[in-house]
Amino acid sequence: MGINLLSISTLLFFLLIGLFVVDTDLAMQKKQEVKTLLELANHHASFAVDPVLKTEGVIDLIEEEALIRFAERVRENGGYLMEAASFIPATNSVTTDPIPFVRHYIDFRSWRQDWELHLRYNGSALVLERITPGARNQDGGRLRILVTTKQGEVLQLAPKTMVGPSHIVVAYVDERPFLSMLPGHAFPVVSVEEVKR
Amino acid sequence: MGQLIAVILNVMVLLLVPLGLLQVHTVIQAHNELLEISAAAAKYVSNHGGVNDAVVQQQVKSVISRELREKQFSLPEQDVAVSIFRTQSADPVMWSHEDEFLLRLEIPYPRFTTLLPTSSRTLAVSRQGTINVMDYDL
Repeated sequence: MGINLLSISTLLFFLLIGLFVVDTDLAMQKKQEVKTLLELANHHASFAVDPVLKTEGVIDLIEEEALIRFAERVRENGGYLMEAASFIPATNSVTTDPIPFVRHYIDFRSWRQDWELHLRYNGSALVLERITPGARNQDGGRLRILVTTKQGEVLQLAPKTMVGPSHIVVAYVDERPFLSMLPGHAFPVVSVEEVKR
Repeated sequence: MGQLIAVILNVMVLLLVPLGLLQVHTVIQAHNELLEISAAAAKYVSNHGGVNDAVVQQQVKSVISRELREKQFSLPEQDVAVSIFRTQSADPVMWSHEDEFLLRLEIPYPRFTTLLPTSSRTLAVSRQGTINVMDYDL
């Protein structure tokens, strides 16, 4: 009787530690992989240059085409299907919950200006609340992206300096833990790509 | 006698659980490393292109070996099988601007112990990318 009790509690203890380790592993994987996914997809999207304007020496993005190209890569590289403003994961995707996202394009007229993007995650959708212009900057504007979480905490993502018209995608990963006693994982991911010539 | 069998069974079950957890941990780690090196290689090819298939293949291999070394990953370099080919190409030989490629890295299924069965014999990651190079880069 004593030995059984001892072995069962040791077993549970091992399991608990193991679960924490695996959970941490998975959290790291998710963060890195969603970032890579966005970067590869946004890179591909930023090739959707307007051919007519290009002949006149202006580099501008066709946003509808960019979105189609973006969705294509998100599906190929991560198995996600794009639906309205979310990526829906497949069974082999790195995350298990839908990832809401927001995209914004800063065109050839306004990239030499600082911009501040305010986003809010309300628990199911990511909303672009407002975009405020800052000082003009001949070398390329600085981009500040602020995300308000469900709890009301404001996260500031690393600022970026634009080198041309830029396509911005912000996604918010909010994963339920696979056991209710483990913490959930929630974090924003951003990708900024200049439009390719 | 019954007591003894019970103890032996207990110990076996006790050992099996950490073994299983370590196996899961090993797989996730290897998968993480594979994801990371494939992302680095895909990014490199995206930004450099190449003059022909052999050169690109060589570059990918050197990026992978550099990544593995610098990040002190545990994957042995010779275990990583690399395949890269273009899915869209403007020129038959040169990997140029707007060409698209598929990179696939494969390793033997990582296992911590041979006692546990695994669902598959290899672990693979593939990445689809697009090349962005100006003519003067080549």
